[in-house]
Amino acid sequence: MEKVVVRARAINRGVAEGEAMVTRQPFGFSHGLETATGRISDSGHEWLGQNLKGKVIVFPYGKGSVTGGLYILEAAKQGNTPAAVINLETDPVVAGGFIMADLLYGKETPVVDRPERDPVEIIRNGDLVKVDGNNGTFEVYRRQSA
Amino acid sequence: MHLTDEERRMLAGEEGEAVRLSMQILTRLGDAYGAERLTPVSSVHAGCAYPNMSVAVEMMERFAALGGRFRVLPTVNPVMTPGNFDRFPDCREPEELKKAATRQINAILEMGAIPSWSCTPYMQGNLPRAGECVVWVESSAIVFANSVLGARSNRNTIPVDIAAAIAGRAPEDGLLLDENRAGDALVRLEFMPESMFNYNTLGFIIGKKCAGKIPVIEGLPRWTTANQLKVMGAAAATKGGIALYHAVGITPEALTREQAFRGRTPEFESVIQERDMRAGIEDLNTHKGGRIDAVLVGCPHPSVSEIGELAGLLKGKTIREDTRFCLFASADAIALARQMGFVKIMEDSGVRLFEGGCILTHPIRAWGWKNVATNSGKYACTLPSDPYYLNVLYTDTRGCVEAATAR
Repeated sequence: MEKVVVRARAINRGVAEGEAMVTRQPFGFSHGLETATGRISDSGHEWLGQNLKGKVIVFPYGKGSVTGGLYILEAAKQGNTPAAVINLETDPVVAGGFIMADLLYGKETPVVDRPERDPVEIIRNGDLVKVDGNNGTFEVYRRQSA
Repeated sequence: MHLTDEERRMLAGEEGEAVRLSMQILTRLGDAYGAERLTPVSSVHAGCAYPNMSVAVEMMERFAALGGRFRVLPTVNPVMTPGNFDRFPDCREPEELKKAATRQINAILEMGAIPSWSCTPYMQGNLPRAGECVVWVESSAIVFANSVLGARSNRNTIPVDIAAAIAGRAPEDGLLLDENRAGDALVRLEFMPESMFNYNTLGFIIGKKCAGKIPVIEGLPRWTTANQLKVMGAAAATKGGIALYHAVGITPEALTREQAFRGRTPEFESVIQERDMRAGIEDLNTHKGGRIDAVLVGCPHPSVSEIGELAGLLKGKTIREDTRFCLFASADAIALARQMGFVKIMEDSGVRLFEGGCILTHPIRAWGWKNVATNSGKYACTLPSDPYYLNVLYTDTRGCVEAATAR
């Protein structure tokens, strides 16, 4: 298994790992996530129908309604949050949601952005990714090429 | 982050637990984005969330129970107020949801919020000057504040707004700083949008092409109105998370293209032609035939003129009994529209007015609606998704009236 280490900016603290879910499309939690299940419900998104619970989700930017932070809090309360988040630029809506989930519900979800390499180029769906939100790095363990 | 002595005391809890919690949220957020300090704010637009989320009520009551009092009295986004409960005999709100909505409203009012219930606070006297740092929620209002007014707001989420209104401060980062407000993508229009409907569609297309970016739009006519920019920004924010755009010759930070880019080179350039609009309309149109259960007009909340235009189209017509025609508007606009006779015309036609309301705060899915019509790019983007799952006929105001009155 090949390992790649990438430096990024630490947005929210915590260390976690999981299988990667990768998209080039922006993603919004508000009207995009079923908080009771973790299922993606944005009808215009390529992730529609997938479940982000326990995954390391990789998307470039946020979008949509700024109630996204509350969707994240609700999902955190119900145990349906992703393991970690990697963005090109983290939407303050996403940052606010995960910071408050930590402060109010003690749910640590590492979030990093501005990686030194384009995460969509180096992370494929299903790769194992470990995100360190304390130091602002992530490690990609690539599956062997199919 | 540098904190003043007073801010240190606030963070230490010397001004109460609500202030401490607010300061914790604001400083954590500021640290994440590298803010050097907090900046005083005098304008907050706050939000109550869809009350089916237990955290929405929990959060608001937690701040109130901790003794929260707003230093900055916020205007508040539309909510499911008691006046808008059970507006149709077959579309009622479950008792539990009504209780949750009422609890949330009581908590925010207890802390001193202004009961303005509108997504267009800038039409209700919450009008920051160009360059003023503010904390607003509601993506359509944020993009208006940043772009049209030239004020400065990040995309704040709920309840960061509550924390900022209690502390009277915001982390000075992101779009509050000059260097983060430069345009990064150029959008050239090769046609005149003219109608409100076209501005809606245009916003959707810009949001799709420039997601997460700060677009600089060239080619908008000089007679573009604030209302047109309102609907354009709302659709762009919903589709692409746009929090700020510049329109050359139109918006305050873009007297010229050079000023809008602050000396930088655009990352990419995109041309929008009239034929792209047709594709945009098709993209937003998810109606595959079948009866229209409801017509939803008033997103974002309309001006009195827009209400007047709708009344003009409805005059003498009767809405079919199987179609619910809903108009969402601020109490202020409705009061004036009533004096001008517009409300009477609409009520005679069978329109239901949701004063200070928004359909997104109601439990539509429980009502069994499948198909709706709207003239709003924002609604058309949002309603097909969770928790609504509706098919949308996206059409102009005339088309909306036609959908509700054709026999």
